[in-house]
This record gives sequence, C-alpha cells and structure tokens, in this order.
Amino acid sequence: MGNSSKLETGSERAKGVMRIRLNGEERGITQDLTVSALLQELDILPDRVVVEVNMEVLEKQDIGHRVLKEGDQVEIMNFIGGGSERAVLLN
Amino acid sequence: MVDDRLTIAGRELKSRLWVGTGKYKDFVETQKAIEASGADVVTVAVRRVNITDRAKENLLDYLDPKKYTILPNTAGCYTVEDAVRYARVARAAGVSDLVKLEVIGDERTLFPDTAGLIEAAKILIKEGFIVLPYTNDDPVVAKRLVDIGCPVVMPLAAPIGSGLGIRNPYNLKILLESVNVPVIVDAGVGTASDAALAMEYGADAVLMNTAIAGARDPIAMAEAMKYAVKAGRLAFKAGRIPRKLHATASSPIEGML
Repeated sequence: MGNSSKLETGSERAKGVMRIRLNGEERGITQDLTVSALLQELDILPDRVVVEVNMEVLEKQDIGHRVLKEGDQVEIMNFIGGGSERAVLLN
Repeated sequence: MVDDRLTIAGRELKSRLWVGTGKYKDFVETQKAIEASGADVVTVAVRRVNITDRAKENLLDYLDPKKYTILPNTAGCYTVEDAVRYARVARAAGVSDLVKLEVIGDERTLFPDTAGLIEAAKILIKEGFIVLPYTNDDPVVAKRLVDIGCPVVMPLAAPIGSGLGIRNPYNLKILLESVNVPVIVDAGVGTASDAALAMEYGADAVLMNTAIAGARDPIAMAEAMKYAVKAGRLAFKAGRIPRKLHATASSPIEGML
C-alpha cells in the first residue's frame, strides 16, 4: 500500500497528493507534477499524444514545464483508426 | 494518367481514392488495405488514450508520413465547440494543418449539421487550418463553404457506413457544376461501382472507410476500389456516349449478303 500513495485519495493530501480529472476520471497524483512527469508515470510516450489542460491544448515544447494544479482537467489524446464513425465524446 | 494529379492546398496527390482507417481487425490489416488501395490520403480520428489498458502500438507507427498525407477528422463531434476543440488537438499532434471537419447533426443518420459546419469552418480557417468539410449534397451549402475559404467540399453519397451508394445523383451533379474547387465524395459508398459512378459524374476523388474495412476481404476490396476510382476517372475524362432509347448498330449493314 505504502508505495502506491501517489494514486491514493482524500486524506493523502498532506503527503503531497492532489486530485485531478484525467481523461474524465478522478485521479490522485503527486503535487507539483509536470505534464511530462505525469506522462512518464503513466508510461506514455509524449511524441504520440496531445495533452489538453483545462481545455487548452499544450504545445509539445510546453509539456515539460507545465505544472499541474489541484482540480485540473487533463485530457490525453491520440490518433486512432477512423473514417467517419460514432464516437465517445469528451465531457 | 501522370498529369492527372489532384492538388489540394498546394499538396499534389497521386491517388483519387482517400481512405479511412477505422473498423479494421488490427493495424496490420489497416496497413495492408491502405497499401492495396493505393490511397495517399488517410483519415484518422482523435480520441482519448486508454490510460488503464493501453496498447503500446500506435496507428501512426503503421502509417509512413512520407508516404501518406494524414488527415485528422472531427468524427463524432455534434457541436461547433467540440469540432473546433478536436481540430485543435489534432493540429497539436504536429502532422498537419489539414482537418476533415465534421459537425454531426443527427445520431441516427450521422447527417452533417451544415449550419454548425459553416460556423466551425469559419473559426478554424481564421486560425490557419485547411478545412476539408464533410457536408450534405446541398449545392448552396457547398458554395457557402467555398466562399468562406474551404479549398474542397466533401459531400456525402449516402449516410456514413450505410453502403447505399449515391442516393441523390442529380444533387451531386448540380453540386459538381456549382463549385470551382475539388469535390470529394465522402461516405456512403458500398461497392466498386458506386465509387466508379461518383468519378464518372465528375467527382475529383472519393473517400471511404466502411466499404473497404467492412468487406469480407478488405484487402481485395481495397484493390477493387483502386481500379474503380481509376476507371471512373478515365471514363469521365473520355466522355460517355449519350443514352438513346433505341439501338444503333455497331456493325455496318453495307457488304451484307
């Protein structure tokens, strides 16, 4: 349990955990995490994704120094197969 | 037909068949079908990365950017806001400034919301996007889209994924003579003859996904579509004979016993 504290919720705030909304779901992450550090934690290669924070699209060069804040809405997107099809929309 | 290339926003394209990348079994099949189709424009959709169950492979690993023009779409967007948002995300991926703009107006038919389409197109054009609009087979809307700066129009043949073929050939013909930009028939093609017909009417290209991906043998259908589009284009350029009610003999009467 102890070493998974990064992903825990609620009273963990004192230990440096904050809540964000990641791809539509609540998630606890380490405070002051940059977007690129978050991607690293999620094992996602930054060159294949686009990140939005609070509806603002981040340029590739900005993900290294953009620090996430409590309550941020983060969307990590990529390209998938598609012609024209019904989709799951962002919230 | 070396000189019969299609140029869109300064990009010279070899193929008049454009293909989508959805609904395939896997990336290998996607790649093989695209290869067989000879297409050099391929559409992709923008979606959330699956955080919990994430595949290591990415579609873009299978599409050589030197070989293909990647055309992100805003499929699944029902509002101007969503379509603009998805377009911005797509551009940030850094593959191109092109966007196939879709603003869907109805869930059952996936018909475009053309009022929303024009509004979203205006916003994106102002931001420097090259907007390729998925629209209805409405000549007036097509003209509006050209007026606001779309370099092409992409009218549907029939509802997306329906395979019904060209449902309104007269509207399509009127649309083709109403605008002076390339017209790409997008959506509704069911089989090779539908694609050939669109080209025979004078469409500049055809975009399809389901007709290939949903075929029993997608790779073979991709090849069929390649020839259909070529045949249709050649027939259009060659000029078909007029239809006549009665026969005209092909063999001369002279010299008969």
